[in-house]
Amino acid sequence: MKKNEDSILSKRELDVMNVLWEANKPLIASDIPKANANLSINTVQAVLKKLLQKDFIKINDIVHSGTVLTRSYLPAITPDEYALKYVKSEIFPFGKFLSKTQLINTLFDNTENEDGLIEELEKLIQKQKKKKSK
Amino acid sequence: MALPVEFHFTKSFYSKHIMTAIMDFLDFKIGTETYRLSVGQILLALWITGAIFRLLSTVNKYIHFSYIIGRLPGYFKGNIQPIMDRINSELGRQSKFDIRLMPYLETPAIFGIMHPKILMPSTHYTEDELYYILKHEMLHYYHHDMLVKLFCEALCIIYWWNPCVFLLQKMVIKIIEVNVDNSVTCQLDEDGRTSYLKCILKSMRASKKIKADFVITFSGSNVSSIRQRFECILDNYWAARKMRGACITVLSILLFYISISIIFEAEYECNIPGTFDYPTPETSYLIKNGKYYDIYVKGERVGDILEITGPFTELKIYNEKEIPTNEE
Repeated sequence: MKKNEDSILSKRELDVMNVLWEANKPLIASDIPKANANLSINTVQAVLKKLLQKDFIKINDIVHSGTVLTRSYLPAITPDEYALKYVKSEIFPFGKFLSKTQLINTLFDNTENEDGLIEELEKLIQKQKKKKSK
Repeated sequence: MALPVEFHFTKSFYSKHIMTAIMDFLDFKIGTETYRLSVGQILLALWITGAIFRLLSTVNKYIHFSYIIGRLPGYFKGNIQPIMDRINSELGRQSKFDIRLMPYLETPAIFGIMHPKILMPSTHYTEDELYYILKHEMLHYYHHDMLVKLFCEALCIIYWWNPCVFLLQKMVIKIIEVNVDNSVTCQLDEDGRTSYLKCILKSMRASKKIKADFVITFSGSNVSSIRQRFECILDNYWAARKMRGACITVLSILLFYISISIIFEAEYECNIPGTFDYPTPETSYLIKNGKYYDIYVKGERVGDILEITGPFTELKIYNEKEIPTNEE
């Protein structure tokens, strides 16, 4: 079982992961502050160590950075996988965001079948298309 | 309701029966010999307690939601930044938006007033669809719709006991959506409007589990209003009805003015010993009596004063020999 199964990212960890996800290619530690000026190299290095321990990132290769050798990193989890895990653990517990008012509104609004409404709206669009082609 | 104040142009209409009955009920005292509260005071205490409770609950949920949203991953599908730059260029704006991925979200949504975040579900969208969705959400921000929603929420907190404010909130959300739809589609041709509607349908068909408060959504949270939005867009409703829109605006302002110009007050018969009706030049006068002035209201002496001030300055002053008769 992967360690990242039970971990939720902190804000700084998420900032680093966002840079890695957006880059979509291996990055070394010094590349990350260049992409996000709010992150210092010291913070990035500490965060990368934690992310590696939690299996959120993996080492891609050892590359040259100037005259030194350094590790390049890739995400070990996609944004979708992480977001799914996060939503299920933080948002899904019932009642967190489904307020009573919303629940009552939902009960009274859904007096008609929503699938039926979608079909009806599709027909409305088709009808307009036919009207235009005439 | 948002302005419970009286203005200089406000006219009072006096009610001797209904309002007096209501005031009597509110003045009715309940309690023991030593400690009594009126019904009005009890209702006011309940009102304030309810409002405070609702405010704390709303603020707590908002803070928690804001924290949770801040920890969602970024949205990296599609060419988001060039699309947003294009939209900003079309609208002549420059605001930056933070796009976050939120699976199971019912429909794309926007959250936040100072640092707006656009929330996107996992659904895969084409570049055109992303353009429509992002333009729709960005226009909510540029129209300050979150402030309007916040204002409605404030009214719901204060007037939590009044079901009309919740109806008002629903209507305002509907209007906000129609307004943004109009802004997005007014410059689109018929094919563009159809594509826009298909994008809304795609959002409706997608997996829907989370309906969140505090956000403004793309396909709307009110199922019954979606049909109305579709009809408005398909018929290009508001483009041909600008005069009607202007008339409705003027009528709304007029109705608002009327609502703050009239208040109903209770009127009681003034038969409490030692008191008299408010003296007016039509019903009252003064008669000089040595250093004092006798006050006459409706032909009856009710008291005297040493110095003429306040409402008595408007009264006619007679000498003893000039006492007016009833005909005068």
